Amino acid sequence: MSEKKNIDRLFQEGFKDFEVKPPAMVWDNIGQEIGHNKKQKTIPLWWILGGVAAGLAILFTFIYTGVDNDSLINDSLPIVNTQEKVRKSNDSQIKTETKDVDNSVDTTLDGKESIKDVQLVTKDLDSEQNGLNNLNENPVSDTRTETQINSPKKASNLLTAGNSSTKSDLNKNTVINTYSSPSKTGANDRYNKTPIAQNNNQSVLATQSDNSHVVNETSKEVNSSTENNSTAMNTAGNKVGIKDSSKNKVDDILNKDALDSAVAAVDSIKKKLPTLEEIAAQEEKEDSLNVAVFKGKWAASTQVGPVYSNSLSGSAINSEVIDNNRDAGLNLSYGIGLSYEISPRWSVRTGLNQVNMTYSTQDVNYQVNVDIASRGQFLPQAYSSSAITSAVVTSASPLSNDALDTGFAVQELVDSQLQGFKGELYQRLGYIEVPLELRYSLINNKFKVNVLGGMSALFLTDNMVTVQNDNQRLELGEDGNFNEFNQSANFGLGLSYDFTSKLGVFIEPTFKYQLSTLRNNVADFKPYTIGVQSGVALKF
Amino acid sequence: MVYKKIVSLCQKNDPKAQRELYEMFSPKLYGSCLRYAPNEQEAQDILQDSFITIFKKIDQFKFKGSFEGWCKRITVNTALQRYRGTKVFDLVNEDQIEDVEAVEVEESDDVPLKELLFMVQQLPERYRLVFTMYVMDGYSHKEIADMMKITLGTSKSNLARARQNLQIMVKSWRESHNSNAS
Repeated sequence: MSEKKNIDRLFQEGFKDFEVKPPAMVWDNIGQEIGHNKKQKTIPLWWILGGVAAGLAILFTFIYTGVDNDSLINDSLPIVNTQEKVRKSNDSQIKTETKDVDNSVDTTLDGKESIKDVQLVTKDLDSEQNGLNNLNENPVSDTRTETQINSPKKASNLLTAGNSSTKSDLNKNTVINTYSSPSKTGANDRYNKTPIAQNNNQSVLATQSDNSHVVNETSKEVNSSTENNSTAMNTAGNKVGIKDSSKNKVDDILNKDALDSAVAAVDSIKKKLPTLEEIAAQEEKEDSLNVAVFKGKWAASTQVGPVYSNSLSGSAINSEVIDNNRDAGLNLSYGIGLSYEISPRWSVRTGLNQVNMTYSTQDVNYQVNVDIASRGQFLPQAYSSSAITSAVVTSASPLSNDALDTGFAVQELVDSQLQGFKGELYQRLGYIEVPLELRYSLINNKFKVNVLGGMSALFLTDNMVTVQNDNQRLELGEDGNFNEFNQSANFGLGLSYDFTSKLGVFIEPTFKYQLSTLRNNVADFKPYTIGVQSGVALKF
Repeated sequence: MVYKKIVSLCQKNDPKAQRELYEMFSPKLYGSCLRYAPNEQEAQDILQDSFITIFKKIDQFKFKGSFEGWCKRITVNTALQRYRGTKVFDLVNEDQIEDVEAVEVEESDDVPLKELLFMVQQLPERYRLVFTMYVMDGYSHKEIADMMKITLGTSKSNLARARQNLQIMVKSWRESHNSNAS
């Protein structure tokens, strides 16, 4: 029996919770429309690399100039006194200068005396400008003070601008045009909706605060242009400030309280600067938001790089050659890796690496026992560390034989024993390394700075000891004292850059201290390796 | 709520969050698009335009209502804009509209969803829009009339015609299905 049913209900029930996953190309189109895919495609590789290089250069410049700030501050202080001297000794001249600066410096070029005065004042303004910039403060203009509060780093830009432009720009108004130029602010408008184009210093403040978001949200290209714009605007703002200050400055010189107000401004600025706790809280807040949308990603990588192997102390051979010179080995390591992001900043990784190590000990005297000594041939027995003595120490010992210095050759045997030969002893070891490391991103943008630590399991695959001098090379076989399996403790730093959300490159200098390398470590052997692995990572 | 944080990040143009948002809501919205569009290609176009609008206007969302509802409304509007100008046959006299509210079909739990979707997509543009809005999305005739810029009577007549057409299609499908089965 068929049950009748309302046609509306038929479709309502049929389409209840109706969901269909759209094809992937829809998102690709949307991504292009809203901007992120399009921007990634248009960035040339050399721009990215250039940007990274420029960023590092700027960073080091900041560090370098930051060290010198104290001396600059000290240099700037006496200039205020100079102003007072000028004010006290040349009141009438200053009045003339006031008029001249307000109108045009050209009008002061009537006599030598006035030229000198103007130069003095100009120098004062310039010097004080520098000094104030270095102090991250500005008693002349409140707007400039706010700009510096916002970003102490930008003060260095201001420093540059102040140095280069103060003298020339006192007479030029073109800087104002630069400040309000739509061509410079247009790029910002296109990528973020910040009111940069507004022609006041408050907009500079807003722009810089918004730039912190732009750094995370847009490509390097946009960042560089945005930062350049804000720098240019700072420069312009600074120039405007200088222009204004040129008008107000002479009045300030006449005002005894100028210095006091400057000091008060410094105090207020210091109070407004964000504390480390506030910065940490802000970062924590951003991290928590990132965690909310975090979706763990796998990444596969291939890496290759040089490995420098040496020991902190001791010898892998025996205690007799501890004091002998050792040469560090430089070999190639290569392998593959697999990592998983367990949080936005933390990831765990493993992999498979082929690592070769070489330890060489110079000036050893290897004593070889032979089984067959007829027809000028001999067969050395298997390698034995006890057969090695230091040629340096035992040069006068009965075991040494100067005749062997001329080369390794079969000697006439006495009591079936080759007395030995001098040379350099190489221990060549090959390992398959399986690391398990935890990585933390200190800087977690497209450009990442990571620290990493962990352990590695090392499986011995190649083990060969050779003795070599200028003329001969003798393979002695395996050194049975090396464990087939040992571990290492790993520490490292890493720099990586993501070209896209899926593809990135990295370079990682790592220090690996090996544990339980030898079965019987009689000579306090403490081997380590330093490697610089670089490679490509593919996220999926 | 996770989606609130995602929306907040989308308001800052965070690409990852935008992708997350898309993954979260696109299946439901694409389901709606398929009912409003005559075929998959056009449904994808509507979905694409809808999400572009969502991302552009997401600043305007103030967390005062359902975000999913907000997205759904944008999707419906996008679809309506696409087909708003479409003419549908002759004008129908309201008096001649027969009450098709009671149109019944045989129990059709066995009608596959794919067939139901096909039937809806086969309807003329405005019939399909009115039917989907009224029956499946719960809009009133007044709302439909306002949104589609048609009269109340036209909305009602379009719905009636849609029901009649669907009734014929369901009956036809059942007949062919039964003959194939036997």
